[in-house]
Amino acid sequence: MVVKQQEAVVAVINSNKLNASGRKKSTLSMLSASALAIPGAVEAATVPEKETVSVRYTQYQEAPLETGSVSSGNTGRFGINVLQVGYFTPYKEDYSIDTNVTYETLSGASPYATIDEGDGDPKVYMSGASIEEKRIDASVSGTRYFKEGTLNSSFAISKEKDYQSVAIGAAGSLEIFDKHTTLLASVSTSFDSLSPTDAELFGGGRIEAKGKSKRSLSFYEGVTQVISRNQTLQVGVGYTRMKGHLSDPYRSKDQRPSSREQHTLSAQYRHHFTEYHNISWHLDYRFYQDEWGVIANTIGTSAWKDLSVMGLNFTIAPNLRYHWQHSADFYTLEAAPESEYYSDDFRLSAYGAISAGVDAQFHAKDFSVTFGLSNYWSNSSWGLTGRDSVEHPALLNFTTFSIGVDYHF
Amino acid sequence: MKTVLTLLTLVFALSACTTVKPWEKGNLAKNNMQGSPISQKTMLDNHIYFSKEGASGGGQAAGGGCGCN
Amino acid sequence: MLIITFNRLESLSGQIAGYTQLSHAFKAMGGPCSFHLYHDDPQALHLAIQLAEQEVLRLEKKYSRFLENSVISKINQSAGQHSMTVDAETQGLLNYSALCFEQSDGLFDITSGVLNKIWDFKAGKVPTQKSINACLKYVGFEKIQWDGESIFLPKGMQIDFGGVVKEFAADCALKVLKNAGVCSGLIDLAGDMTVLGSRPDSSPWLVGIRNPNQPDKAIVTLQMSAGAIATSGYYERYFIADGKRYCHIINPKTGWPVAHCATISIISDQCLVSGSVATIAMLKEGEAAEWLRDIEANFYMQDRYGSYYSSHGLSATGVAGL
Repeated sequence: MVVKQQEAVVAVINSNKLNASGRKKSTLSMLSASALAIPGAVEAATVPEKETVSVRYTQYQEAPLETGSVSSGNTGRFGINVLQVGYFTPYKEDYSIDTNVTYETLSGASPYATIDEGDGDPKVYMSGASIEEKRIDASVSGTRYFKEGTLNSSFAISKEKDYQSVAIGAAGSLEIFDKHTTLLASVSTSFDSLSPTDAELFGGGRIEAKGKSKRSLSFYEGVTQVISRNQTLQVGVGYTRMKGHLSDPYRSKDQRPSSREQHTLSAQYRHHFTEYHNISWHLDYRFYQDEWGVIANTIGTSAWKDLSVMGLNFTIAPNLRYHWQHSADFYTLEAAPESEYYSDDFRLSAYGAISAGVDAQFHAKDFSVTFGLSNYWSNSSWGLTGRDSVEHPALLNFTTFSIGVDYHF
Repeated sequence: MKTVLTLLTLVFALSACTTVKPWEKGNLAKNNMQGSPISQKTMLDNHIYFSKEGASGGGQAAGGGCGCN
Repeated sequence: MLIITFNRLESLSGQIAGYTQLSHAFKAMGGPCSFHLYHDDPQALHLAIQLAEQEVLRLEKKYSRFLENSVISKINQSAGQHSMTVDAETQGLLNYSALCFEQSDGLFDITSGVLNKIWDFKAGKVPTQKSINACLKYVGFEKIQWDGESIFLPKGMQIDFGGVVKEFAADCALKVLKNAGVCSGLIDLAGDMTVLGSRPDSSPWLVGIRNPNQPDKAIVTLQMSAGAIATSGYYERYFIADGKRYCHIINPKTGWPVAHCATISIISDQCLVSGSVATIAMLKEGEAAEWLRDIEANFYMQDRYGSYYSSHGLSATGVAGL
């Protein structure tokens, strides 16, 4: 073995004698390889990963609707409590396993119809009784690490009384150009089945949806580029195709096409400012367009700063997000739409939304504690383009508060 | 597709003129410089936006759905 | 903020919550050495320090010219008598030295140690050309027989890992610390440094390159989170005779000390590579800067006239954001 090493060195030396022009550039890499070949010398740098358990509790609360805009039912909307438990562990030398379980309990009322009688002052009809729902979501993903990249596969299920989803995915990354560039590719597919509650009692959209299914196929291709020692940029394109029963069973006026193709173009920029207090600045942008005529632009930014106060280490990160979208072609608030497809869902209307928040992390020896607070406001006149003339009265405002603990061992 | 090719070409062209040595990547390796420094938060935020807005996607390929949308 | 200049540590506030910070100083490899480490477990840190120091001392003992039973002494004692089969680690170091000899066109030569016998830096006397010529007969790596397993030195010749083993020990100490679970630290073996990750608050280590003319001042400060830096300079060991400076780096072809470069620092992944490239560059004299640019090394160099040269990203003033 050792004799072979020497032969290899001699061979390299000889080939370099033949190729004098290519010689100088390879000097460093030859020396480096030879140094690494010495038994006992430095091996390739890999930081040992630790096992991590993460628990996070989030309270999500939608602001009540204005009483004036509700025609019947409750003005109170959804409140959701979310518990997330995650476990990440390295496995053998080159693998890691990431498991996540989410448990949600939801209560409140939701709009089942929004009608504009032609006076430009649409009214919301809320579901009478308060809904109580639970959702459990579990996912597991395994990653294999190679010298030049990673391969990942994942499996996820989501279960509710009236809805079930199963998804599988695969993703890969490849580092090229001396790890300056990372190519990313991923694919995932899901199979969902619908079983609306009290379908026989209510009929309509609920009975139509009963036993129906929904499939999706999704691709993402991207490139991450190291621009400088303080800057990276990721650019990617995404494509998703959904097929099946896409109408909302709980809305009285909701008839959607059975397919929806979505395209995204997104970019994530990271900049570390050594000259400005070591702040890491994030800027994310996404352009979205789909077969239903929805066009959306989403810009998010955040600044991450590490602080040390009286020997305690914190990270503080304020964030701001702006989203605006055009309405779907078949979006309407008419009382009795006559077109083939129609929906009065505020999510398919034109609006602008702003959210602002702050996250704070406290770091200790083996664990970190995270707090997050954010608020979301939306308004139909806040879009930069494609605004509708009539405001959807059920547009959302909500607050989220979360507290989480990560424990490394 | 053309846009993608142009972007890829641009990125490759950029990479040709920058070399950041492994020991210069200290800042890039910081947690604060990652795509999502608090991954559970990002996971849930994305889920909320997915269920409450008319647009979704843009990260890794979308996972499963839920009755919320 | 922690400021480190070669052989000197100024701790303004090294404490980071949840971590034990230890600086351990000891003497080895002909100079002051120190480890500056962070770990979340103080006991594990103490053990890691012990193991790493043992590793440095093991290599010093194994390759010391001054210890009779060292591997180097045994090889030198066998000169002119018989060939000697050496262990795998020594084979690796000899292979590496052979490659350096090739790549430097014979300037980096582990047989040049005999010239130290006539260049007496304590007495500060310039030897005669005649004695230099006589000594050069025993210098030249091409004269020894090395087949990858066993080595044979002609009579009167000797080898010396002086320009190799300290740097190699820094790489080995880093490996020991890493295996012991330390992931934040700086190793300083008499001025040759390796960095094991940034500090736990993710701030980099500040490493100063010594001003060759005011050795207690830094001319450039680098921010390092990984990698290794080694420096070769004419201020380390020298004497001045008739207004001329004679330093300890001797050209194995002429037998005379180099005089062109004042200081050369090389940054690379391995301290061993940084150290030997710095030495080769010193020996290249007037061609040093050009050669360093050709091989695309990351370097900082100042010649004896005070002109500085550097690779892209290293500047002469202020902090270079590495």
